[in-house]
Amino acid sequence: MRTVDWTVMFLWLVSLVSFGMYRGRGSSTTSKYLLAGKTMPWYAMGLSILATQASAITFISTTGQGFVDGMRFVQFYFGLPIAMVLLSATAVPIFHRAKVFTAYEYLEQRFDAKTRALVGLIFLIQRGLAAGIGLYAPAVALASVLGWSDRLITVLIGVLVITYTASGGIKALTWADVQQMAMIFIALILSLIVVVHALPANISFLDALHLAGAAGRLNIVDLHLDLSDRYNLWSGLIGGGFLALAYFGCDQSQVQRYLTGKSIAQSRLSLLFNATVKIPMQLFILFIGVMVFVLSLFTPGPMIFQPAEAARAAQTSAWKPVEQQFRQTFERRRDAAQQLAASIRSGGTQKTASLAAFRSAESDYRKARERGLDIVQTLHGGERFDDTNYIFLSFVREYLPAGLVGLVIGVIFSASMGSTSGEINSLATVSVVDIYRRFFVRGRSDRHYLTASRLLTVFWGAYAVAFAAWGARGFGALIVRVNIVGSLFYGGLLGVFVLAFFCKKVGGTAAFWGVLAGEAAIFSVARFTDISFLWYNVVGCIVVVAVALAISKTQPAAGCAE
Amino acid sequence: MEPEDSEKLPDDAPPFLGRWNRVYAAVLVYLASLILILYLITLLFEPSHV
Repeated sequence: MRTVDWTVMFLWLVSLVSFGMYRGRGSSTTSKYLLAGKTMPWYAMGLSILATQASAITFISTTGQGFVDGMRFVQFYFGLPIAMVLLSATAVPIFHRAKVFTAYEYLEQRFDAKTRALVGLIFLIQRGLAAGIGLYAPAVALASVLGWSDRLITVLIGVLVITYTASGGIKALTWADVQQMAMIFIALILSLIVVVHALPANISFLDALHLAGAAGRLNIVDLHLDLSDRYNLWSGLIGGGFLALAYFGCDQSQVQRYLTGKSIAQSRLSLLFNATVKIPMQLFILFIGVMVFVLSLFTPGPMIFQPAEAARAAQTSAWKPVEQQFRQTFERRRDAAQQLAASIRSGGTQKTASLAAFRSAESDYRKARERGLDIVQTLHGGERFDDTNYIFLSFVREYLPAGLVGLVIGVIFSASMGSTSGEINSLATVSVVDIYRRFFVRGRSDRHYLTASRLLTVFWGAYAVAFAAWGARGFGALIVRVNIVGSLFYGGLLGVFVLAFFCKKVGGTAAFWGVLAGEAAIFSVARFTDISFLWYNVVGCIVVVAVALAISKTQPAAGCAE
Repeated sequence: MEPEDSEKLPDDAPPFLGRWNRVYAAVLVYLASLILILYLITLLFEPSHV
C-alpha cells in the first residue's frame, strides 16, 4: 500500500465512525438506544440489513467463490425473496404490535418465560460464536495485505466498532451501515471496471463471457435435485428459503433492524428492498470473481494466493518442479484461450476443437495448482488448505490503481465493522432485555437499563475481539463453517416462531420441549448424515412443530390455526 | 422501558400498487423472472453451446 492508499483508508474509516456517532447522538433512552425511537425510514433499515449480512469475509470469499467455482453460489439466495414476503406478511406486523424490543420477548407473551429464556440463550451462544469468528477471518486475510499482525487488526476493528455502537446505539450503526453500503457499491463497480479494462486488447467483453462459460464459470442455475449439494435451484429455494426465514425472522441481529421502523409499512419495505436487491448484488460480486478468473487466463498469477504460505512452500525442494509445471500449463491455457476466443469470433468449424483444447488445458492448470496446494497442506501436517479468500485481495494488490487499493481495503475493514456492530448491538439487547431485566434486576429506572445496555455493548465487543484475537485459533475448520454453525441453531428457532405465529393452541411447555427435540434432530443429522447444512433448518423446523403438536395432543383442542 | 410510539404504528397501504398482496405478488414475479433469465444465461453460455 502506498501513502495515498493509507490516507484514503484512514479518512474513510474516520468519516464512517464520525458519521455514525454524529447520527447516533441523542440516544438518551433505552427505546432510542435499542430501537432508534422507532423513527427509521425504510431505505436506512434496508441498507443496514444488507450491511449486517455483507461481512468482510462474504465480500472477499464471494469473489473468490466466483473465481474457483463460478456463479452457481447465487442459488443459495433464491429462497430469500420468498422468505421476505412471508415475514413482511406475518412477523413484521406481529412484532410491531407486540411492542417488543426483541423477538424473544414476544415468545413470553405467546408462551412462557422458560421458552423465552431458552431461545434467548440459544441466540446468545450462536451469535456470540459468530461475532468472534466474523472478526477473526477477515483480520487474517487483511493481515496478508497490510503486513500487520491479525491481532492488531482485530483490536483496531473492535475499538472502532465499540466506539460508535456503544455511544449511539442502533441509530449510529444503522446510519454508519448506510454510508458503508454506498461505498461498497462504489468500490464494487470500480473493481469491475478495472478488471474488464485490464483484459488484453483483443479480448472483448463478449469474448470474456464466452471464455467464462467455456470454463464452466457461468453455470448459474442447476435444476438437478441433490440433497448433498448446497448449490442447486431446489436447495436454494427450499433450504435457502428456510435459512432466510430463520435468519430474518428469528435472529435478533436482523429483527432489531426492522423493529426500528417508523411504521409497519416502512419495516415491510425495508425487507422487500432486500428481497429485490440481494440476488443482483451477489451476482455482481460473483461476476467480479468470474472476470478476475478470465483475466487470470492471460496474465500469470501466483500458484498460491496466500503470500506467507507461498513463501514458506517456496523453501521446500518440491516447489520448483511443481511451479515450473504450473507456469507451463498457464502458457498452454493462455494460448488455448486466445485460440478459442478467435474461433468463436470467426464462427468457424475450429470451435469444437478449440473448446476441447481449452478445457484440457484448464484441467491441467487446475491439477498443477492443486499440487502446489498439496505442498502447503503437507507443511500443515495434512490439514486442508484453501486460499480462496486471498484471490480478490491478490487482484486488489496487483491491478487496482493507487487510492482505490486503500478504498477497497477500507471498505473490507468497514464491512467487518458493519456486521460486528449489528451483532454486538443485538447481543447487548438480548442480554439486557431477555436476561438481565427479566430474570435478575427488575423494576429499575430507564436510565439504569440504558447504562446496562451501553456496558453490555462494550462487553460483547470486547468478548468478540478477545475471541477473534486469542480464542479462534483453536477452532480451525469451524471458522470455515460459520454458516453451518448458524444452521445448527436456526431450525429450532424457526420452529418455535412458526408455533407462535400459527399454532395458537400450543402452550409453552410443548414449545419448550419441541425446541429441544428440534435441536437434537439437527445435531443428529449433522453428525450422522451427509445432508447439506441448508436442509438442517427444514429438519429442525419440522421436528419442533411435530413434537410440540404431539405433546399438545395430550391437551384438549390443540392444533395450528387455519 | 417500553418502545416509544409503539401505539402509533398504523398498517399503512404500500406506496405503490395499492395493496400489500399485490406488492408481494410483484416480488415473487420478479424472482421467477430473475431465475428464468439466469437459467437462459446458463444455457447460452454452457460449455457445449460455446
